[in-house]
Amino acid sequence: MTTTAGLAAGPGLHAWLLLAAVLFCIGIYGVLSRRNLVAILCSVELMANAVNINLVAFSRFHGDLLGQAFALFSVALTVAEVGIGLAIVILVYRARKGIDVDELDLLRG
Amino acid sequence: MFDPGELNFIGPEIAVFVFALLVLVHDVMFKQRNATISMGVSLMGLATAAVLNLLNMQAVDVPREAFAGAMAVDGFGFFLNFIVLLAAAGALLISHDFLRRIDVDVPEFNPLVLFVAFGMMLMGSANDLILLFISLEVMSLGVYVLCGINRGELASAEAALKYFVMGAFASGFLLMGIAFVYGGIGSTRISAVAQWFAIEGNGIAGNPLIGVGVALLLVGFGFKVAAAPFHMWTPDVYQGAPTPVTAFMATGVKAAAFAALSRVLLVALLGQNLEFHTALWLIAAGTILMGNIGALVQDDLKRMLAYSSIGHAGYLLMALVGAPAAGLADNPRLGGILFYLLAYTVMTVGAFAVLSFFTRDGVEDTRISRLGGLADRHPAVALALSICLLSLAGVPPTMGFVGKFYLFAAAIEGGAIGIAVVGAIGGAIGIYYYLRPIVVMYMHPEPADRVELAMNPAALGVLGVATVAVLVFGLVPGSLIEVAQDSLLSLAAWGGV
Repeated sequence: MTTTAGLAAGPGLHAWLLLAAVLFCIGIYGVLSRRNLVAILCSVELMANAVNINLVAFSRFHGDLLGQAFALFSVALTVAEVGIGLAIVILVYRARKGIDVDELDLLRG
Repeated sequence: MFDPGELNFIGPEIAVFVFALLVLVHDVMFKQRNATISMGVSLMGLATAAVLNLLNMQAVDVPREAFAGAMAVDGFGFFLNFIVLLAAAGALLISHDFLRRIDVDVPEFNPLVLFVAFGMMLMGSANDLILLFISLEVMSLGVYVLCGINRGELASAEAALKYFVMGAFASGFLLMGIAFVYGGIGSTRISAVAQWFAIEGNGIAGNPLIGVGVALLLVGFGFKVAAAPFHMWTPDVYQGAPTPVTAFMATGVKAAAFAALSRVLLVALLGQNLEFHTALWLIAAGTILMGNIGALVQDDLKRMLAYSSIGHAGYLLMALVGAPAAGLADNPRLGGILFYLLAYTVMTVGAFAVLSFFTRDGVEDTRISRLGGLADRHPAVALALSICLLSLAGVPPTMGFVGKFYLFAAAIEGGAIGIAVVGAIGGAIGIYYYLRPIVVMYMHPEPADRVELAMNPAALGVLGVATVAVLVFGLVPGSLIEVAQDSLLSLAAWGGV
């Protein structure tokens, strides 16, 4: 099921997984701690790109192209998502004249 | 390789998509767009899809794969398609007059609802995690926009933003989960995961990659179906979004996300229950309690329904806890999941149809106190809303009662007595807060500054049909339950167990 031949030339699978995990966690931390909406969007991007690294690393590990194909889909979807995200940020900015999430406290209870 | 005949299987999806494009072109081409034509064409699209879906349902006896295994053609998917189409039709009809009243004149509303429905329908039939993720994003991206469609209203923008941030965050987890599952077994097919598990010696315990993947998938789905502890966004988003959009989110989005979750749990992970049974148990219990307790203290009916929708997700998870390890055929009552998703869609759309009447000067006002005296002014509307709320509470003889009965039966037959007890506690709490609006309607005087209800034929029609359906299928659920059970059992065709 698995071929590891391609991995001999570079760092092992673990290295890539570690890199992706670190990036993913930085992304999570950013979403949870940042107040600026654009920074939150960037953090979401980091999470998505961590997944892409994982997908490509697994693809090489398995020796098939499924993961790389999925990574392409994932990139396209993330772009669409960020496009809509920025539109929503602009919407909020126009309504509030600010993009600090702490000020968004209209809906509570 | 590719068989054009397989296109039949996505006939309903294609119909919805093509009609969405038609509506979009119509709305863009004519400056003075005719909202009625736009609505009519949209509904025609949904009706066409429903007919095609029915034809597919009759034509396909044995579940089969399509598109090189990316899609599962089975009763489960067909049943979900009907739920999605109903939810979309309900949301469209409610929105027709509502959008005019809150002064939102956007041509993209109807096409967006159809595109979202397209994504939802694919989600229910996705056998490949890649297709599942893409259709989930098609759905989510549309819903983010729909939430913020009332551009002049800050609450709407805030709801869109909160939903977007949480949704994108959850998508990240889901995507990471899929990547790890792929890493663990080298395939993204849900049925391939089941076959991999079926091989002696393969399990979550021996393969950390797939263990991590499953955990991340659960987190991602937890956000999407609003399960505790990932439910915090739900009340804010449901309250801030325009009422027809909330109705669509509470019904369609929840049904589609739950269908995808059920497919992953009941096909891919059926034999693996023990490993993450405790996690699922805790999530279900937390969801039931958080939803029902949170709903107790709400003064806004829309927000209360948001909390109650969390509770309902909990009841559905409760049934999943009772999934038998030996095979779905061991516990046919699990069909209650599909029946309950349908029942929840019908009664929730009915309740939201009434909520959509409560606008004041173009702003929504859905406080429970506004319901005062409704029984005197509009006895029929009050009665219909009461029936929908009683059905949500699970009082016989309503559809909600039958659905809930089957969910509890599924949990108990599956040996999950503990979670059924938690569910019963949640149900008891539920009766209290569902009765409160009814008491206000029948016993409280009208508020001094009352405004005339903005009743309109389309939403009244939705309310009427929903109420009748709730009662009819509550009294004679037999055949519908059978269809739901057969549909759920069709999932057994994919299992490796």
